Amino acid sequence: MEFVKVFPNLEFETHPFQHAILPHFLNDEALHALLKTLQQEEFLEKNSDLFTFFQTNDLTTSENSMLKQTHAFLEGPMRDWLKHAGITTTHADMHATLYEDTHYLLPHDDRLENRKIAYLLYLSSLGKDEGGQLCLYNSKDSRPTTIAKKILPQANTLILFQVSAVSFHEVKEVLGKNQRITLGGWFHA
Amino acid sequence: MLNPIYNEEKTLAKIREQFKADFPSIQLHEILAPEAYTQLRKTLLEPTYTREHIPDKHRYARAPLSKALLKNIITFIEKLLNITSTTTDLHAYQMEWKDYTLMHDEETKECVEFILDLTQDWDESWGGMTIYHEEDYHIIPPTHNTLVIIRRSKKTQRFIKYINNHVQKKRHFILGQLYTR
Repeated sequence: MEFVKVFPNLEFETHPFQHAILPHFLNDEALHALLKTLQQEEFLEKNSDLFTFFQTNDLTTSENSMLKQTHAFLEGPMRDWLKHAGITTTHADMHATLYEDTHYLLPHDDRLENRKIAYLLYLSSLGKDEGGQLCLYNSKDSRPTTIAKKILPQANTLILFQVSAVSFHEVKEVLGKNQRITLGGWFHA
Repeated sequence: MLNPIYNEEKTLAKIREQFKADFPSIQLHEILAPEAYTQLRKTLLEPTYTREHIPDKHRYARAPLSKALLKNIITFIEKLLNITSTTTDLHAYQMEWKDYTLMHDEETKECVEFILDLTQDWDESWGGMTIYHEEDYHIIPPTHNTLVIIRRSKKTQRFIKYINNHVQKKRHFILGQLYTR
């Protein structure tokens, strides 16, 4: 399966922290195959002080052919693409996350286990009254202050951001019947 | 005025026994006599609540309370656990859609903590439960006229689950800490 025809030019925006928003990332065929595959996967409810949502286990060890190809795409062409932009990584993990009505993720910085670049590929779209926006925070003294940017879930848009002491972000509560489905994880250093 | 049953030595002995568990906590239902509960509820709708939002810590409205207002409760807890508090931290909280508190990474001080809930008919699917974490998670649903007492160690962490868009009312409760030194 060909995942992308040509990789877009990777330039990071710097405000409020290093991130990139890349629409129309995958070929349509790959996107549809991926969504169809993920809809067959088992999602488990995850709960903490920070979040409620459904998530798969790590999919990098999956026996499913489409998921194997997706993992190979992350480890090969995508890591090469990052390297070309000056970002050297060792490996990627991958899981799918499903937010339904009332699900959310509160502000945090993502720093854990040598995470270098967070990635997020939207597999569904939500309207502006349906919640689920990814919000990037301004910060002061490594603490989040106000929302600098809200990103509406748009199918086939890839989000990348550099994990750091200031990469505070959240996912607004999903409102209503539409689901927010993403494939995501981290490229590790 | 406390519910008279909680003045009986027999009741107190029973509660003390239950409090010896690994995670020392107890929930005492119908803690106040009906008139006292109604009066306290009315009083707590009056103070000026200040909204606070620190994104990586909490979002709620709260108002400081005087020790005098909660004298009965504090005296009861001191007698029950045979302690004398030197300082107290007492607040009334009002929580609504989008409110939450997160667990703090830093160590907390040892204390006796209590929650007196004034919320009628809360539905747990709205969130808003108080959850303590030490080794295990202990979920305490909001229950009206119920006093929850917890002996917190330095390792005890607490959070209040995010309140989601299904909520149909505000949660009102008193949260206090009694420090013995």
